[in-house]
Amino acid sequence: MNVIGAIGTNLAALALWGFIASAVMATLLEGAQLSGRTRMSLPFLFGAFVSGNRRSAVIFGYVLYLLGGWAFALLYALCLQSLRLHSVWASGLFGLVMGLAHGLFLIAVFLPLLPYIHPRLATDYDGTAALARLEPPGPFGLNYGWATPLVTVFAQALFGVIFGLGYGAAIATG
Amino acid sequence: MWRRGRGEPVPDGAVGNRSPAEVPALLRLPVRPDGYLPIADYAVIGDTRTLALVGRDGSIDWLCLPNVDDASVFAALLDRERGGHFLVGVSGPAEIERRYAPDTAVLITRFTTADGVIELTDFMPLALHDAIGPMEPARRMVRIAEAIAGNPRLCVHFAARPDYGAVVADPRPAGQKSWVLADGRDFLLLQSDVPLAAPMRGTLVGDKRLIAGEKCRFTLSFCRNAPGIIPAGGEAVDRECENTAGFWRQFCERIDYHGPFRDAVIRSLITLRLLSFSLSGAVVAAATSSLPEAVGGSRNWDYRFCWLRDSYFVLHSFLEFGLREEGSAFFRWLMVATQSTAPHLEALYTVFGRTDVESHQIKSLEGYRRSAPVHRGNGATGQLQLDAYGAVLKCALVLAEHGGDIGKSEQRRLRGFADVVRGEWTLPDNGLWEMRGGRKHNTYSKVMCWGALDAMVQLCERGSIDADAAVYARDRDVVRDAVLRQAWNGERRTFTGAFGHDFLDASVLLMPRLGFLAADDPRMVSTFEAIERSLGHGAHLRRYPKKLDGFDHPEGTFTACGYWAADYLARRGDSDAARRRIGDLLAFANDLQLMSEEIDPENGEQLGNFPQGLSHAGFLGAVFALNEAEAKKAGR
Repeated sequence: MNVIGAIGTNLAALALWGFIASAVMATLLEGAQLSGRTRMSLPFLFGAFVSGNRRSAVIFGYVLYLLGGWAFALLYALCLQSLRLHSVWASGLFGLVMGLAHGLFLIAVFLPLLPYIHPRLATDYDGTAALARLEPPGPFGLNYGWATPLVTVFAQALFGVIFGLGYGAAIATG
Repeated sequence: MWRRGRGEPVPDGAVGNRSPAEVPALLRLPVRPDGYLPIADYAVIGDTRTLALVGRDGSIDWLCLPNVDDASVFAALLDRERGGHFLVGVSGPAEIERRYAPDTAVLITRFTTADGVIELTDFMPLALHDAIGPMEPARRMVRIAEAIAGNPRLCVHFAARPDYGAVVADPRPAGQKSWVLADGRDFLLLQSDVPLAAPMRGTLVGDKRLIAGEKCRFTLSFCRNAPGIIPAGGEAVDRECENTAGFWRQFCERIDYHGPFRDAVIRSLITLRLLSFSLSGAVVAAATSSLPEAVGGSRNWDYRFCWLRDSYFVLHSFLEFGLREEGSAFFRWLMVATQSTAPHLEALYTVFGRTDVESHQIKSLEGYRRSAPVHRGNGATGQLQLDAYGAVLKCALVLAEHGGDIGKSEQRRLRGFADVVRGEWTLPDNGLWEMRGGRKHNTYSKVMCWGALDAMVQLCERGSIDADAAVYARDRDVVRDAVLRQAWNGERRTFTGAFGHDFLDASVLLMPRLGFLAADDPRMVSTFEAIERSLGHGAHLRRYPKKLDGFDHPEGTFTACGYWAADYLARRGDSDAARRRIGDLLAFANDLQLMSEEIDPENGEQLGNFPQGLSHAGFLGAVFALNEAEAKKAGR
């Protein structure tokens, strides 16, 4: 069976474990926020792309976040299928590596560059503006608290592991 | 949680056109005798979630974020050197006048110097829309300095000291004209039109020579547990000022009062509204913690909580002056907050209705004029204050009299409170004043137990509560008999402060107001005279005799008690004396007509937490009684 066909066969597992991994990641990030370790909220930042209203930004943000979770789940699944990793532990390990890489990309590239593409994020070069803006995340997201890079990378790694283990188990059991 | 400073060197850049060598001169603060301003020199601004005290010299010396009962960011009020402050003002000699913009909580301070005139406008924007709508910081404070004439020099001095001065926070520059203090929890942003420099860790200074008509704006924004929001600047800030003033003017338009002392009535109601907490409807006792009841003494308490004993006076003030929305919101809060402890009541609750309030000493602050210790939290939790039951049930009655509905679950809870009173009114309690030295059968508490049962009877008779009025009426009469027999000292011809004791207590002057005894009853007349003789200082009254509470430092006169005396006089029909007394007491409010808890009878200085809700509610109650008395006299 080709990769696409295999994905089609395991679509329910992909949707389920993509959802679970996203939910766990969101819980971890929100928990870290509430405990005062980081002010980072990826769903809110995503939502603010499309809306300047806080309420809408939170709602859209979580929808986008879940859709993003499924998109990454699909990407991970494609990689797993194409590498023919059919053992649960190998899938979990692969998920961990992918998650770590994803997290590192987020903090080292995505967050610092985000103000240049985000319509509502300020940059360090801005002066007084007529509209309210969001604080930029800064290098490694450190503006949002010292634990931001750790929490972000850990959350992405957890996403990878959970999805890898869950989806891997679905593949392994046929 | 704040990032502690790293002691970074002073930036190489100059402050405006000043050389780095000149910067240290800007560190000099306006001179204050012994480092502290008199309490009366403060004004209050707020957004009904938190409040700030602004000194006459333009220094914000008290601000807690995000809510009124959270830790301070500025607390120079309690420690000039370590507390933190945010000064926008002038450095040299100046003539200073201040006022609120009419019918608002927008403060305007005018500095007249040899070089020109600066007008400083201070306010906290309110969330006037769907609160989680637009992207705005959770809290904001705005200061706008405008040169009115000449070329005055504006000085800025910013020293945030979060967590009650325990942290010397080190702001970092962020973008143009902005400085940030942030960690994983909190984000505090200062936007300043005056270029600032950091001559030493944790302190920003700057100055600017203004030309007539020039404006400099300063915005302090705060966010917690979320990405920080950088608010709009420039003219958007001026629009915020208009919107905020507009909110307060609309609030004042709803005040239904056109009698004597109208300006002070408006200011008192604005102050009570500022002390109310919009996120829940609670009203805190005062904006501050640990302002001393005697300078140098240790009677320094945290008043940023809601005492149920005050609730009747506050609710009465809102409703009798036409503020039904605020009164209803406060009553709903009372019902929600007391849900967790029903059918029993605690003495005090937090703004969110919690009762697990512990008292801690804050070692990092020396206290106002070295009046230590400084407290966070309050040790009155766990006390038995039977008067609280009367206060809550009387609130329900006042609300019902003003057309408010009492729902089924609220009826159940109120019945529960009344039943507790029936069972426990015979217990000694800590009383209204929370005195040391064990519990007593405090007269005021017993009168309020009577008030609770009387309110219950009236609520039943009105049909507001579904219960048998006769049951409560029987017990009410028993309590009344007990008070009339046990609290009356026939030899001294006075009601005493507690059964079996012979000390006087000014709170018994409230008996007529509570409907317990007619004001012209000979027993009340002689009690009033005895209290005037023993506890009076001009128009003011001490609440009880010196040293009765076990403290060495004698406290001042209690502002609310003076107004209770005026209330009594008005109810006795002596409206001229009541009017005179209110006028005399009001003369001790500050220039903005704000009142603290007490007055030092020796020098007239304000003492205790500031501004104090009970003092303002006491004033409003006296004015209401006066107005009623004058209307009665005029046959209206």
